[in-house]
Amino acid sequence: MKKNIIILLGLIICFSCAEEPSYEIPKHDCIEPDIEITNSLGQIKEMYIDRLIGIDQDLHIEGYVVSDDEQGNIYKVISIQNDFENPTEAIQLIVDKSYLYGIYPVGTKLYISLKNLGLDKVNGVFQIGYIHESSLIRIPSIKIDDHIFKSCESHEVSPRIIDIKNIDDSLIGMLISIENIQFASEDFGLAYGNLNNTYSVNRNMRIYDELCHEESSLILRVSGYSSFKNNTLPVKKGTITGVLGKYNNDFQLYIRDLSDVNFTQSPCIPLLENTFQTGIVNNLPIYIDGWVNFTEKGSEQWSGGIFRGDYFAQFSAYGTDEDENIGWLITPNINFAQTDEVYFSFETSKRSVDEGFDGFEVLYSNDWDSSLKGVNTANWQVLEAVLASDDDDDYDWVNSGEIPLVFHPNGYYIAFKYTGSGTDTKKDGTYRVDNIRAVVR
Amino acid sequence: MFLVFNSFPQDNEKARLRISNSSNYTPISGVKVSDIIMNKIYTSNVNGYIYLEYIHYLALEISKKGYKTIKVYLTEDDFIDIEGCIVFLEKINVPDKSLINISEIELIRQNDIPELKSISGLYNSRGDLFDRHTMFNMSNARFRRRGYNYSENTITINNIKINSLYDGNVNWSTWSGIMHALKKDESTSYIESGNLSFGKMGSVTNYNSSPSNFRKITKAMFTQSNKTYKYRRQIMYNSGVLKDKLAFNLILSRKSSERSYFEGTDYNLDSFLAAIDYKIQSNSQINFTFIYTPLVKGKSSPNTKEVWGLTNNKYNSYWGFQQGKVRNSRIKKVKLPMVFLNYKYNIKDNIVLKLNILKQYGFVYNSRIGYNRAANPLPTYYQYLPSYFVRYSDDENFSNAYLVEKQFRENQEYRQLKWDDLYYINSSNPKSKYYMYDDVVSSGILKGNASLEIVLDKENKLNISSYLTIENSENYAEMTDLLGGELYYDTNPYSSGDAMYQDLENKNKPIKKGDRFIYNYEIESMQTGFAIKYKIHKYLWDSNITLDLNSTIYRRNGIFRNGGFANNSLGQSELLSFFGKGLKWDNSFKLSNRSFIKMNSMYSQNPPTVKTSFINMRVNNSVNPYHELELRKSIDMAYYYTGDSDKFQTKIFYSQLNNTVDGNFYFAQGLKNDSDDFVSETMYGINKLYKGVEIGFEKHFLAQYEFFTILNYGEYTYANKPKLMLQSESTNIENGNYGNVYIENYRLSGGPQAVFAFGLKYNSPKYWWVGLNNNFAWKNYIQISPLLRTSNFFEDENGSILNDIDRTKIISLLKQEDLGSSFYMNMSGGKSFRIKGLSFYLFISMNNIFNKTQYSGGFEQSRNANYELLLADKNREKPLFPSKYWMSYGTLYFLNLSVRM
Repeated sequence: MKKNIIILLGLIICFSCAEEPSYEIPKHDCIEPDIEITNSLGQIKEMYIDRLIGIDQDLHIEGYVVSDDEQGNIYKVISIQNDFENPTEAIQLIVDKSYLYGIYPVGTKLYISLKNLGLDKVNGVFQIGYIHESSLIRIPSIKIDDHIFKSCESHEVSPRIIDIKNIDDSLIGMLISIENIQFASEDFGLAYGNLNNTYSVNRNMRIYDELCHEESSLILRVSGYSSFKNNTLPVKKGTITGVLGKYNNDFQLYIRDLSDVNFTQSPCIPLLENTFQTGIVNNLPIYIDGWVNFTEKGSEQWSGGIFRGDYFAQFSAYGTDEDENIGWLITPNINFAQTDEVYFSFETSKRSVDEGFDGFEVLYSNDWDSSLKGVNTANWQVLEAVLASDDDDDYDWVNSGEIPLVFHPNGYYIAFKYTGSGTDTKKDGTYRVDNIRAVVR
Repeated sequence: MFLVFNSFPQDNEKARLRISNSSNYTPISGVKVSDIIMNKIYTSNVNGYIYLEYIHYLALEISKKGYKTIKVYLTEDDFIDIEGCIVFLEKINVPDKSLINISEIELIRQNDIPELKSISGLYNSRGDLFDRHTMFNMSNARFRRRGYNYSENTITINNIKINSLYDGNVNWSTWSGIMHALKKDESTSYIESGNLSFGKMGSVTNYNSSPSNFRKITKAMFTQSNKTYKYRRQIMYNSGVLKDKLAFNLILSRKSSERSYFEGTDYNLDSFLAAIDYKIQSNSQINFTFIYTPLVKGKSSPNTKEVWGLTNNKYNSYWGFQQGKVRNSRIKKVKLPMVFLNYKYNIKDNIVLKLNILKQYGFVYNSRIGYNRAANPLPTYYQYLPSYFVRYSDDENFSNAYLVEKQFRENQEYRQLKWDDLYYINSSNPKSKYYMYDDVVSSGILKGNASLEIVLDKENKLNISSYLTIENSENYAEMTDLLGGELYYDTNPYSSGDAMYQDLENKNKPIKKGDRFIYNYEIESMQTGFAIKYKIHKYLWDSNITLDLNSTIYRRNGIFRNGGFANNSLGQSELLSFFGKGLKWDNSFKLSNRSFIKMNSMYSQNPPTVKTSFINMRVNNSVNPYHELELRKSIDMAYYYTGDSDKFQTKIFYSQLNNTVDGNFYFAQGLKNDSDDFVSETMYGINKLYKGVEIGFEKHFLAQYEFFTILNYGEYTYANKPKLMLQSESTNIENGNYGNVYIENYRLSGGPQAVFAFGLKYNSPKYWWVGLNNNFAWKNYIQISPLLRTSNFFEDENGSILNDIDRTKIISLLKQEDLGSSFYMNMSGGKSFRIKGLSFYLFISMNNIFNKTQYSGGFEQSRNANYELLLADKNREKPLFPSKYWMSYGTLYFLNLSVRM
């Protein structure tokens, strides 16, 4: 009996001894692909003849990856440039695969086999992709490994420092840095991206000179899927790095993540800035928060105008059929500390203004109570400024010059006042105002 | 599940049968008992006993002058009790004042009729005829009796309710493989309350772990199968009662397989039970039982029709090769030992006190691959399938669809998880993009039951029981394998800003192996109550009435502050408390000695489960604002007839389960404001209606043949328009109300609502038997998506009604899919034999002989949440988000050899 039990017990394999399987980390030995480069990136772009072309020869190019889609600002695109230190050429590959950064991290050298791929210029940007029914689409995920090969080589990529004025098409797809740049003051307080939905947005970046005059600008493009879209734009200036892109005529920069934005210095913060580029509709009265559009006489109001993409404010008594047209466009209160050195500037232009017309004035007040009734009772004085005059051609923008504002505890209101007549042809010209700015130096 | 053969007689011991008088229970001697199959004749001795040599099955004719002759068919189950089996004879020409109803199917317990020493039950006490012929035969069709959730059946071990407060279910994995050491000493019909447990709309079953229930035995079992496990070895030892004081039971078992039925799944269950009875005095006994059944198993995936078609019936997307070894990403591990302490004290002859305590503690782990800012690793993600390439009807990329399809069909590595690739992608950076983690539930459970069973007199009995349940758990995700990386930063890639951080107080903590992350919260739940059962047992009428009152409280305690719910996740939630009550009343009326009718009815208000009380437990303390008591009303009527050689039962039932809650969690597109998000979906105020009829018939003929047939026809539907609430990162409770769900009269899902089966069994005198049964199942519906049936379906992103809706299309878009009918034929057989003093029993069964596989269940995907998206998807030749289905098993075989000494 006992013998039987022992035999039976022996037949049972030990209790709870199922081994916890352990899994080793697989080792990967890198094998350098044996590919002969036939063309440079620039040469491929030269093959373009104004429409989509298919590449049926056995061509190969190489480049270093500079794009990174981890944080979601870049999507299904690999940008490569011909060198990791002093690049001269770059191009974009469109691929139907996400999370490319894990497989092709920045600095990886890639070999591209172009046979059976296509080249097209899409919205101003050269792209290599896959041809499907006469249009360029992303290289299907299942085909990527037939065309894109990783080298065992990778390098840290240093961005090429570029002066905005020298940006041209050859830099599209390249990793560039721009120094002394900041976000435009009208974008201060905004987040990087769109909080309510997943649409992409443009953010405006500006370079200012020592006088805080705008020198040049560049768009930052932020996707609605980027992880940093909730972060507030930094109110500082410094260096920004990113991959250069383009949309039709506008160059756009794509940062990869927030470490591409290195803004540490004090920026130019205009006390007041209005280029009228936003919030203005052509031929409609101007309504801007904080500004006052006051019609003292007549029915004509300061309205929006546009010429070749540039918006401005304008007033004209022409065609009103009214005897008196008086309109005030008054800035919000400009106040500052006693220690601040403040300069006010703007641009004006005219059209069909008769010689000797003096109905356009730029005034200031320190005691206006900011009510419409109070406009006529406040104390307004002429601000010494250079205005568009008879000596200037129609439409030419004339800079007012840097007008110093002396400290006053109540601050300043600056008014652009037009006094004219729709029935008097000598008093019905058009005045335009743009780029109103008060800066602290 | 396989037939249980517990108590073989030993060489020097035979099956004991006792013949007694049905009116006064006195033993009858000189009764002639003929074993029809074996052609042997026995005569009962002065105590009414007969000792039979027997096989698994006995066909006996029992007669004595002056008594009505009866035929009786007995199997192993009738001899489970150590005392054997009792059969009653009626005197002829004597007015029948029998108190025992021959055709009752309830077990009559020892204390019911004190004159009798013990009764295991009458020959037809093998449990419900209907259950017997459906539970095993129809498991492949996922048949659930009356369409109820499994939580409607109450399981108690040693009088302690095992169903959890969390979701009402029983965690069978914590006590699997030791069933042979437990005696099922109670199994009620549906609705009826148990002896000490009120129950719900299903049955109440009690398992008793006392070793004194069994005879002394040493037994080993070897099993081979192809379902969840390949091999099983089990050994069981029962000491019998030693010196009238001590008895113990030991069972040890191992179920294992490297490859179970579905690809890539393995299974490992080790089971251990040790139980000791100690008789303190002649009227009191204490029992200690320890059960530990650690389990490790790999899971398999539900798939769309497209994927089933591209692969095979055993396809599983959860596994892949890692350097040539099979590795499954979804592994379940259960380590939850149970300790029972049971005390029984016969205060007087007619009062029994029972005290039972259960302590259970341990862990459940479910593993998963996590990924952050990386491509979905599952090979069947919709963007990797051929249907994705032809998703635009005006721009179908057939050549790429074909290439992908070819790879899927021909290249096994392509259609499984590419572990090596995941490690490779992780290697570009010390921050892991892919990682393995466990969803961990660490439980501490304490349950107790105290009861008094009082026999007032011959006809009246009173049971009072009170119970306490404490279930506390810690729930968290734990990093288990960084897949080659060095650390991980815990952020939610679908949110931005602070909402990204799931442990806001430790925003930038690098997560390493063993660290907790993603979510971390505790649940405290407690229930106390008492049940009183009054039993009346009269000549023509039996009645039981049970009252139950209970009080339940739940609370969540968040350990992580979740950035998306920064003010509502850390710390304690509000305390939820419920007061439940219930009343059950059942009556049997004896029509004759062979037939009776029975009526069971119940009304109860039960607390909702923990799972449905907290809407989005992982991330916040939000309580379901509509947490109310569930209402159960159920009634059934049955007619039972037992003849000499046949048995007939028929029942009709009507049940309402009202004000209940169902929850779900998935990724939806096309929500309000044209948003996409992960949503936690709660449908509440649901009324469910169950009605149907059950018929069963068994006949023995020519002594050696058994025939049965059963039919169940049911209609289980939603009976109202419940309400729907979604919660996600971007919607809070106000926005998350989706209003009515128009699903009135849609069928409930989860198994066929109509089944028909019949079978034949032959018992040979040469110690073997064979049986064949055929099972038809139909009316099996897939789980509908409630979101698709709200007004959101008809709205565009701004909330205004869509214009061009085609009414006929709606009917077809929203029609609930019927999975069609299924047919299974099963065969089984057994043989017992003796070699060198050892008794062997060999059992073989084959389920689904013709290897017919089909979809056994499924669910609609909720991803396309409005008309436009759903119509566009369904119009595709290959939809991107069609329903997903589970595949039934093909042919399953089971071979069991047990040895006794």
